[in-house]
Amino acid sequence: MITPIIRKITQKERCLVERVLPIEGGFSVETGTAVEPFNHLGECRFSQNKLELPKGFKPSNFKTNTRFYYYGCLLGKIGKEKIVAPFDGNMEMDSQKRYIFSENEKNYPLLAGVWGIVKSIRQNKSVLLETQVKDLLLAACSDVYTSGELVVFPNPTDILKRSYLENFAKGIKGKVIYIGHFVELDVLQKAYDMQASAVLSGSAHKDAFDFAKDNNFAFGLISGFGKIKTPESVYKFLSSISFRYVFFDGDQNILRIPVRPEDILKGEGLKPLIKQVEAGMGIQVLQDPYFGWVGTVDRICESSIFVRFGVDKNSVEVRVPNFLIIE
Amino acid sequence: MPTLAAYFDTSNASFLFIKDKKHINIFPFPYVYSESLFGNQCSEKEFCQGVLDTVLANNQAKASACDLVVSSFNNPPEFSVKPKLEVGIQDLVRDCDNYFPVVISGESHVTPNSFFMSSHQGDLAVKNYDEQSDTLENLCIYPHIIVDDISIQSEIDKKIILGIPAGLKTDNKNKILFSGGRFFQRTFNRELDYIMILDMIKKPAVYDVYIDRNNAFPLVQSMKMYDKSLDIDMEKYIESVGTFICCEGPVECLLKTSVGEDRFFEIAKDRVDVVPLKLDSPAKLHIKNSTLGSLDIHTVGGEVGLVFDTRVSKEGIYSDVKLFNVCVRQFGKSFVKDKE
Repeated sequence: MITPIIRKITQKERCLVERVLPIEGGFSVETGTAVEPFNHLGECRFSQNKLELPKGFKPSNFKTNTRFYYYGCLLGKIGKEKIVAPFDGNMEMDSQKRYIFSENEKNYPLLAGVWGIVKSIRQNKSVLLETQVKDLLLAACSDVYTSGELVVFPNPTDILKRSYLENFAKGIKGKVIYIGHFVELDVLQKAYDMQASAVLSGSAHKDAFDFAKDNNFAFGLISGFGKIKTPESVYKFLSSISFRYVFFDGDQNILRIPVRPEDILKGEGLKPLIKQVEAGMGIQVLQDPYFGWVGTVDRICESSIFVRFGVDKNSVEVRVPNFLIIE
Repeated sequence: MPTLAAYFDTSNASFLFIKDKKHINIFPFPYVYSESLFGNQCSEKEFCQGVLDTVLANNQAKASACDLVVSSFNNPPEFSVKPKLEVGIQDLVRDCDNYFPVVISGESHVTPNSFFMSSHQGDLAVKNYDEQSDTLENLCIYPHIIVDDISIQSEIDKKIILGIPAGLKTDNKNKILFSGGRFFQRTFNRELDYIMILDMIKKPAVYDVYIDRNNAFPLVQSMKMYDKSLDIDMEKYIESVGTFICCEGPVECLLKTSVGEDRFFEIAKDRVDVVPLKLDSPAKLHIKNSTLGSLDIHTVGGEVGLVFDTRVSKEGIYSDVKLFNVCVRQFGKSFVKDKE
């Protein structure tokens, strides 16, 4: 029986990655410059945080059009509740008579994020880099493009996940987090509240996925919906690239991981898309109660195959077409 | 010149290869391109081309030395070789003379006089977060999988039925052929296939029912459209389910087989009953009923046999748990030997 092959991780020897400044700035690189992930490409300066104060807010000592407040100073009150400045910044009243508190302008450095060569620079706003990457295919994801440093949690139990998030509280902002085999809605909401850049997990229920879509939050499922394990090979790969700068491309269903040129296997060529199933092959089972499990083909019958998981001596019958070859 | 007919459903594909008039073979390929599974390796065009090349290679043929005929449920995929004929499922269905074809794929259906297209199976699961909704969402990622859970499959079938609220209008044809991804290579929970069919047939009449489990209908039909001189016996590739006697009120039957074992039986009002029957030579069935009148028909039965539906009100089977269970039991008894 011929069966398609899924390859969760693929490599691209030549790939263009665009790095963009939030506003126009200056670049310290030129076309042809070789860069590494932590090299600065350039920078711009802008206010990176804004706080819109709700109706009923009464400012403290706000007498002119704009006023500077230090971090921790009293901004004003909403009823009896005191609001203090979460950062150094200026408060202004906009045309709709709302109070906006903006952080002081700060330098925003743009890192390369990849091992590559600058191909072009566009209008002091963006740089196009030629690089090599590995792509992790996501079974489902929200249609968001973002990037950040990858943080890989060990595949913990549900109870541990919240505490992991909370322990990472100071450093979670702007990061891409692999959270485990399965993520519950409340944990995803917590990650969103803590301004994680993106969340990855093996699986989730539809409510968590809908939350991410509704809030335009980058969320990717590696295996699918329900409680499905992340394939061991994928988890090992993610662990091996922990703390690397990665790109979540929801439009293409991929997590793009920049790699060193030497990490690319040369001469791989075109791989077949379908193969004859044979004993000993790796198989992803798509039939309950083993949905998403990866095993090895034990034997093949006319309309089913028998699959063995790990060191278990017993094999289970999986009907055609509820499996795929996995490489 | 050899000819290859390819049919692409929303959840599978099938190929019919004709080397010459004596060598005709059908190759089912129970998978389909999914962006979520293969998007990092290839486009849909490359995937379909890869499958086509494999089928040709297995038949020691080359695309350049072969006439290609392509049909599909949705938009047909592109190939490196331009097909000699490209045809959609609606044209195939309209062009069929021998049967009243009903092609069901996903939640969509096409018949000669109606069609209902649904784009997303997951719609079933809106705001209902449970195991069932996870399975339905996974069908969008893994469109080829055959659901083995009776309750989930019957939910999908219920949705299909909603697209045909008044039942099938068969234009006075009594041979109904059910085809498409819904029936493709189903080897388990076959009771659900027959229940769905029964729920679609509401108009009192006697029908011969067939199921196409290999996409033979679109393949043979497109091949016949391409080469009108071709004479392919489709019945070789389809399952004869049996004779469905759809009427209102009690029915009296006299079954006369060639071996001389006459059987008389009565089916009471408001029942669904299955009489297993699979013969080599036709038996004569005499029927008496208030809506059908007095009828003499010839039948060889089929995988299921004779199916009697004497319900006066043909309301949905899925909404009546007791009736649904009766149907599962009744249809199950006809192929109990297969299960053993």
